[in-house]
Amino acid sequence: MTRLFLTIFFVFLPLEEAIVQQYIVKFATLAPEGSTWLKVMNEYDQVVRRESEGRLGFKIYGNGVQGDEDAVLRKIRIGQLHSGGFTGVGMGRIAPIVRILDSPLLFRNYEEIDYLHEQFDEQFSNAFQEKGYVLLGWAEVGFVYLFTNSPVQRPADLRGVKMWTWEGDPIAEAAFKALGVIPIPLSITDVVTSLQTGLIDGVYASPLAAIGLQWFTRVKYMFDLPLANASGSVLISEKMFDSLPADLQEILLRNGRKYMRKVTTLSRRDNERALETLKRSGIKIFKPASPKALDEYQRIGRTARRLLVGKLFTQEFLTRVEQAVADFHKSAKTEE
Amino acid sequence: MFSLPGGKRRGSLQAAFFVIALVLSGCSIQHLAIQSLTDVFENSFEVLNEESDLLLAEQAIASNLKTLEGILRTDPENTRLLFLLTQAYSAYALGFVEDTDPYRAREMYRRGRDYGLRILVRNSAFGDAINGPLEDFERILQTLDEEDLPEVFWTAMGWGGFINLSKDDPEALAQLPRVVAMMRFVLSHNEDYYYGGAHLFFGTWFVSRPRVLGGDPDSSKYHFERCIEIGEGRFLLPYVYYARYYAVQVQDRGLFRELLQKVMAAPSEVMPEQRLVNSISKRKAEMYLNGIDAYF
Repeated sequence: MTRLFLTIFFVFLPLEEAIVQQYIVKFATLAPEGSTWLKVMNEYDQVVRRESEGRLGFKIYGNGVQGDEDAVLRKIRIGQLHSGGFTGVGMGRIAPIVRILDSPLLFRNYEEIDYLHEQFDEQFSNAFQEKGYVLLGWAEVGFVYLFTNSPVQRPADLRGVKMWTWEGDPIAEAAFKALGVIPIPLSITDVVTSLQTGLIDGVYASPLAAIGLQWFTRVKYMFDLPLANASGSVLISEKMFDSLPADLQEILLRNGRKYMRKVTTLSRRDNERALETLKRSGIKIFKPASPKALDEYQRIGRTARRLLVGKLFTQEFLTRVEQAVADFHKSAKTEE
Repeated sequence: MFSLPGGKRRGSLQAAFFVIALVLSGCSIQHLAIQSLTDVFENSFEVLNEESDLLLAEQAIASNLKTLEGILRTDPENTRLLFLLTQAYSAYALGFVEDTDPYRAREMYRRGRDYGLRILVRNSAFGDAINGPLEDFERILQTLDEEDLPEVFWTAMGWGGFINLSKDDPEALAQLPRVVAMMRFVLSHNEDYYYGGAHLFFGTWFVSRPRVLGGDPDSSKYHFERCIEIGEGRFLLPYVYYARYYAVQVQDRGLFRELLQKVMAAPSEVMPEQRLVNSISKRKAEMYLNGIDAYF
């Protein structure tokens, strides 16, 4: 009996192995091991493996071991990798139009973001597809806020702030130009030290990033108005995607939407939690001083977005997007 | 005699002890008993450090932990007991739980940290600064001296282990700068402490983020190599972490293999007083080598 069992076992084993891992999608992200982001990515991988009965799976490289987003894009082009988790930086290299999602002061709340996705996702997907990428899902980083060492409640308060900006970030450049601030471009590596020495006394980040990068230990105030929303997504090269049988493509796409939505939901939760942690750690949170100050910011946002026309998107597209957000804002208000 | 149920009997027992204590003019029998028990446990952990049989060590540490907690209940402020518990919980998590059950390991590290903090917060300035601004915390650390170093190091070990397994929790992540500050204190006062343990921490810490987000592989390499140097190449844990964290981060498969094979090949008697950690290192090395394809 044992013998029979062993025979069956060994006869079937090689077959089983032959089926396993027919298609491996090599995937890279900056998200660290153990982070919410990577945990959900692992769930996505597990489900894809299960539904495809082991024919399809990801090989996941976390914590930026494959390099920054430019390096990952390069490796995808030469076929060394197939897929990646990207922020606006990487997405903008492929399809600049998508950076409208990160544009200054466009959104006031999550509902507006979700609505804009509903309205324009087809267009964004097509923009990726034209450049040889398939969108597997949006995975939001979160609202970006200003963190400073002097209170900022109205645009004028920013004048004296020695503001950091990430080298080569066109969105921040436009936003600060419209705000009348001349920022100091530095790499992320240099931020903590520069805050300590006083070379800079203002930065921008999502609450979770402000904690993860340890910037929160060197600033005193947060301005509670989303400067922009940092978007994110998971993309796969069209070449890899097209090599998959139709049923596997469907499994990948359907679950991609589902699990990246989960990343977005959890990322919003983590950012809320991070905000609470920041408050407890003694960071003072200021809201816009008055409705007038808020209007002023909205105007500046409009100006800043116009500075990006011709660089990232057309005026026509910007107008359509702004109109959609305004319509949604109005209808949400009437419902209240 | 020590397992009396109910508070009443214990109360009367304590009263009796109190009387005896008075008679002996301030010298409590209970205190003496605990003191000699603590001696026994200190020796016991020394013996455990020399143990090469991992199963035996694992079971012995686990049972020692609970016994120690039992004695601590009788003498809650006993510094030596608290310190033993701080060390033992972190060591247990690192050696026996982390690789198989990270959720449990996280809790073990947390307990280790909390016992250590019970010693450290006796310094009321430290206690006040623990939840205050980071700058105050760093300033208070400057006022500590080498005598406090073991508690600072082992508390930071537990705390760091806890955070490392809580990367999806912003509240835990926000505590990391305090652990970094404590390890800096250790590094500046005695970098040799526990075979360069603070270097082991920084080796790992500098590659916990990608370069573009502030990671620094060169510094990581420096700290791992310094740690190996301090352990004269005989303390094997830094080789394992060097491979698992640095070599993986820079995607150097050759280095990964070379370091871990070195650990596997090291004679088990290379450091008799640390047979246990070296056996744990060998087990981890084997596990990582077998799983090499997951990292590259």
